[in-house]
Amino acid sequence: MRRILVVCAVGVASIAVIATASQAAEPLDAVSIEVTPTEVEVQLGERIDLTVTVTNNGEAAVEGLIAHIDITDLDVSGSVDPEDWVKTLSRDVGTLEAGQSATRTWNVQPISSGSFTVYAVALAPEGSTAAASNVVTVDVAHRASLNPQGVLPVSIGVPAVIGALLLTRLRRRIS
Amino acid sequence: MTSNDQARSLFRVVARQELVELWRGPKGLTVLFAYSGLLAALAYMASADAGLNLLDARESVGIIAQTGVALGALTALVVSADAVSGERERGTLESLLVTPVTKRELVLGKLVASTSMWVAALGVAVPFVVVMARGPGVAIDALVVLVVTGTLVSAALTALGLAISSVAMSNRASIASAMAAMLLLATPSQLPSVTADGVIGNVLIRANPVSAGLKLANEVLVAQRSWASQWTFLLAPAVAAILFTAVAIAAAGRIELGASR
Amino acid sequence: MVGQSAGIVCQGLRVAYGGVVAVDDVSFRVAAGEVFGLLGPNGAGKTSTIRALTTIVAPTAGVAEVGGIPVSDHGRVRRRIGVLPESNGYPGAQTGLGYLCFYGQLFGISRDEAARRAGDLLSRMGLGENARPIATYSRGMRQRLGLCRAMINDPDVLFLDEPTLGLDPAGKKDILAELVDAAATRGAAVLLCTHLLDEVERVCDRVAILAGGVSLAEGTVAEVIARAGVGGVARVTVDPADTPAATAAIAAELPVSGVRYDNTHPGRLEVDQPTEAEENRLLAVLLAAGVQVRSFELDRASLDDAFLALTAGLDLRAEEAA
Repeated sequence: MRRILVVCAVGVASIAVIATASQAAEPLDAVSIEVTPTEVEVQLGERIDLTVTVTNNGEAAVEGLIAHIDITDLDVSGSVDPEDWVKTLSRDVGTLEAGQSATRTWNVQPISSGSFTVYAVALAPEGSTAAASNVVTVDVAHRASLNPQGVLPVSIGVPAVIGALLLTRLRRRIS
Repeated sequence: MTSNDQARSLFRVVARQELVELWRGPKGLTVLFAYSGLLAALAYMASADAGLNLLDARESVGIIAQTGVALGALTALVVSADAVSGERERGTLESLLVTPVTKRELVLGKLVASTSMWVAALGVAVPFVVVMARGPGVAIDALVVLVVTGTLVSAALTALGLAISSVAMSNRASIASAMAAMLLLATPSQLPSVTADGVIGNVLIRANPVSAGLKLANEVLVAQRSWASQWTFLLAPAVAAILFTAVAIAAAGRIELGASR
Repeated sequence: MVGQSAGIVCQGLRVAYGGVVAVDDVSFRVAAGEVFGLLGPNGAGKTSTIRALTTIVAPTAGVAEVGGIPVSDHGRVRRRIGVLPESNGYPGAQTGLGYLCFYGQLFGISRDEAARRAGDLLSRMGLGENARPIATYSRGMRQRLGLCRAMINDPDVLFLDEPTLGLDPAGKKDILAELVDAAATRGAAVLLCTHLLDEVERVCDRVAILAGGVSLAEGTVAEVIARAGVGGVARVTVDPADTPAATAAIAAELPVSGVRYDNTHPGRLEVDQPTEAEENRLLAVLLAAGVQVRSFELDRASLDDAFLALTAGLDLRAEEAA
């Protein structure tokens, strides 16, 4: 009787350990994350949409997923603070059943010119190793406009007219 | 002509003369040129930032409208602060005081001429605001802010400048005092939001004609609040315009030539 | 034309600024058609007197009337006066014509009438080129413009405070001629404030000398000179051999105060402060005594002499600093 109880206890414990180990390893390994498009060329100040797709490739549901994006400048040509480009870096994905995907879109506005790298990670609440996405290259070109919002003619014209009037008045006074 | 008719017409005669002196001479155009240059530079920079989306387009319109109001009122203040004390220093006051025109009529005429400075500044600010407001579609609101808020704030400051000018014994003292008053009145609008949103900050801003006017511009143009919910910000400028005008007329009685015997 | 009541009445006038008395018990009258000179050094109280009479400052005590109207009735007084103050500025950008039109309208004159009067006055003062801005005017032209302004309303009483200051001799002559004309032709009462005594002697019917806010003398020029106790000098040059005879004749016949001999010029005698009668008789006495008279000069006492005599002993430098 005692022997049967011990075997049962070991068996239950083993199953528990195996189950726990399976639960710890499987969701992160099974989750894939992808960012599209992979290459973007944009003018400074223009907005772009980056779509992040999180997929559960495993056989069990994964709960409490969070998708997080980051922006960095690998060339160190200029510093970038991701929060200047986009308000919210992390988005809640929630639970993904086996084989299920979820997409989240970030509307990003580059505020500096240069070549930047964007990537995303999928995080589980326990804080285990994240699943990382592919790398997206964002090339931001500087847009030089001499006439922003069409204000140049007014900015030059109004002072010029008043200045001309003043000059005429002063000349008349001197002569 | 009855004596009332004559009194009315003397004030108009003075106003006409002051307008001629202000606009036929270089003073008015010089001040207006400086104002237009500042506004042009600011409008260009704000538009460039809005184009880069560093500034929301509404924010850029808000900046120009607020600057147009503040600087425009300042131009009128500078002209009015010179009105009486400048006459004294240029030696033209005594000749005026020995004519049948009363001191009050003199001051009223000068008030009209000084106010023309704001009218000209408004004319300069309108094209900037119209062009910049096209994008966000706030042209009407921006023009109403300029005209209503700007006119009330400017009327208040013009009258204040004239009151100071009537009692100051030197032109330098008059203009310095007027500028100091303007700075004091504009200060609450620069309070950090934490303080500005508190009870004391709120009172300071609402009770002050300049900061109340600037706050109204911000709330309507940038924060997109309705006029109906923000109209109370116009109370301080309106009351100040009436009160300071009364003070300026009362101060006219204290106009003196100065210490020479 | 000016009415009978025109003129200035000043009786016991007192003007004080705080604790400082600028004018103390000054009395004089100016009739219509008269040019009255108010003299004195800087700080004597001349400008304060004018300002009290032109309603700029209120008298502290005394009676002051202009054109028969008390100076407390500002509006009515101002309608009847023209003033050229000492500190006289002008709007540089305006033309002389526009400037005068403005002032004319301040006196209730219609714009057209003001323009007509302005044109007449400018032509009369030699400022006919009225399209130029005032900033281009010389000092003399500005003073003449100021006089035009003072006369635009055809005043009964004219007040002029140092009107010829800084002008060249021709400019001074023109201004003074206008004052005399205003009094003589139009019957205006003219009060001329100046410290240039030679001008006063030329144009003023009567004068008053102020110093330290107080009136030292008042009357015609001759009366003021007499009041000051100053007299002229009669210079006679006789044949040196006749000097004793001349001295004896003068001593016997004329009660003059004294005869002086000019040792550097033999035969020259000087008689101090002769009266008019003594002046008249001096030559006759010498000729009757058989004296050979080579030359005879009368050097009369001036207002300058009277002024110096009256103000001698006063601390004028302290007054000027005050």
